Amino acid sequence: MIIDCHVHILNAEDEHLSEVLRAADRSGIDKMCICSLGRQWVEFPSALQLEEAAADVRAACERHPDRFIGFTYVSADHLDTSLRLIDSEIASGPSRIVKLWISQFADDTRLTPIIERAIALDVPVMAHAWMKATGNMTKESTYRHVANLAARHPRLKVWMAHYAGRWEEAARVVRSLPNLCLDTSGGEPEDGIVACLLRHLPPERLFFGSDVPGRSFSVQMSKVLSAGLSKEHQSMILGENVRRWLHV
Amino acid sequence: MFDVNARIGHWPYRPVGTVDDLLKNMDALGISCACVSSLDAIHFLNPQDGNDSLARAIAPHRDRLVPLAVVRPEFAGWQDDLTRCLESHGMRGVVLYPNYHLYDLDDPEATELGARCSEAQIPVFVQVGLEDARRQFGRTIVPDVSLESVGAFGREHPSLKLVALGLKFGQPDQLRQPLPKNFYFDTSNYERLGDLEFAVSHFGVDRILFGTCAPLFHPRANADKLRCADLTAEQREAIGQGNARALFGL
Repeated sequence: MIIDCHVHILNAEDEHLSEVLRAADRSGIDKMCICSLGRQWVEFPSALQLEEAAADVRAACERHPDRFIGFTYVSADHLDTSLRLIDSEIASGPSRIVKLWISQFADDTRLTPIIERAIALDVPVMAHAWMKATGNMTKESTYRHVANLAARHPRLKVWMAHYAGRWEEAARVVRSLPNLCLDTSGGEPEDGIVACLLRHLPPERLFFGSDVPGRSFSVQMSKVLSAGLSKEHQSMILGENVRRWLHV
Repeated sequence: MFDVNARIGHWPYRPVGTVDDLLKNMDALGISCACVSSLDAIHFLNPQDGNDSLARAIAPHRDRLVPLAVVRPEFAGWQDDLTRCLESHGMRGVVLYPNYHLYDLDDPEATELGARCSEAQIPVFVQVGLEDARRQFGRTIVPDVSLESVGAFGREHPSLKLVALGLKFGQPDQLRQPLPKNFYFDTSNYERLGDLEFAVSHFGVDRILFGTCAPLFHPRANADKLRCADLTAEQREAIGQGNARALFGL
């Protein structure tokens, strides 16, 4: 089974969801983990925008339960709303992953109640991360923030998105943190990304993701398919690893 | 398929594949021909050193590899280098890197080069973006070439076939509409959900060329992009090779 662990939905309208599903079908993708960052993708979302994002993910998952697995987008700036959404969308709803974006660093201690709730529910926390030569956003995490989170909470499943854009360094920094996995989503399809990651990490710790719609399924999957992997390792990265983490 | 955007040589920031790797990937992906230029020439002071070594490296593979010359129009004596590339090396076009070689497309030397290529009836490829700025070595960030200047260059030389390489999704839209009739772009870094379908419907299938940006990108990325796109067989064929063959009159 191929699972794309990193897909964004822009809304929950049929036309948009159908476009995503048709493209996924053409690339042979069985399931997708879907996230909404709200309709405006603002750096510091309001509580209302977190609720709007959760509603879109819930609607999409309820319409296509066989294809979509939900993220619940939370923020340390809105702790009560975030905890309530984790209860309604994950504990009692169709979502399986907590999503952190760029409104706080991943190691912000205000997140502790959210982290404790994720541990109790045995769900991963996925943290966006990048290390940009052009400069990060105000509170955009690097691999070091995400590594700090994983080190502080060894029982938490931590998922670092985009291999932090700097796979050559990120893999070295997180090597000693077995509770941290990386997804391969986003960025350009440079040759040798997955091979580089596997020089430092076991295949169990990599998830295939695309970052659709800003990227495409086929191009992003080619990073894994071009890596010369054994069938077993390819299958693990393309879906089995994330399926095991999410119990789906 | 016919790849209009491949290179051979070294890259200062990481190891990249060799000419043998390129040919092996072409075989595996069904790419029969590829335009190749010198990767070394991007950073060499005199790109002609890269052009000369490229010609030697691909000599046994001229049935599959179509060489292109990298030219710095602000480097003294480029006219002689261009003549040598066309007449001695049999190169079939010119690749420009304005933002690596630090000149503008409306500089007098670039204008002269455009006129010479028009007269010689060879295409000019402008590398708009080559590396993700976010991942460049922090000492020097090389920005994309301005789309306005590329469009203006195309309008200044209406009989020149002009190919923009490495355009990102949304960048062709930034050229003043309608697109110049002599303007093409490649698929190598044009990526988004529904990318090629959008490009075909907005710019016309005849403007789009299959390109891989090998060896910096793995060529499978663009082979799979074309294979998985929701296009007709005719559109796939045109992008995959028909448009490139027409560009070179093959």
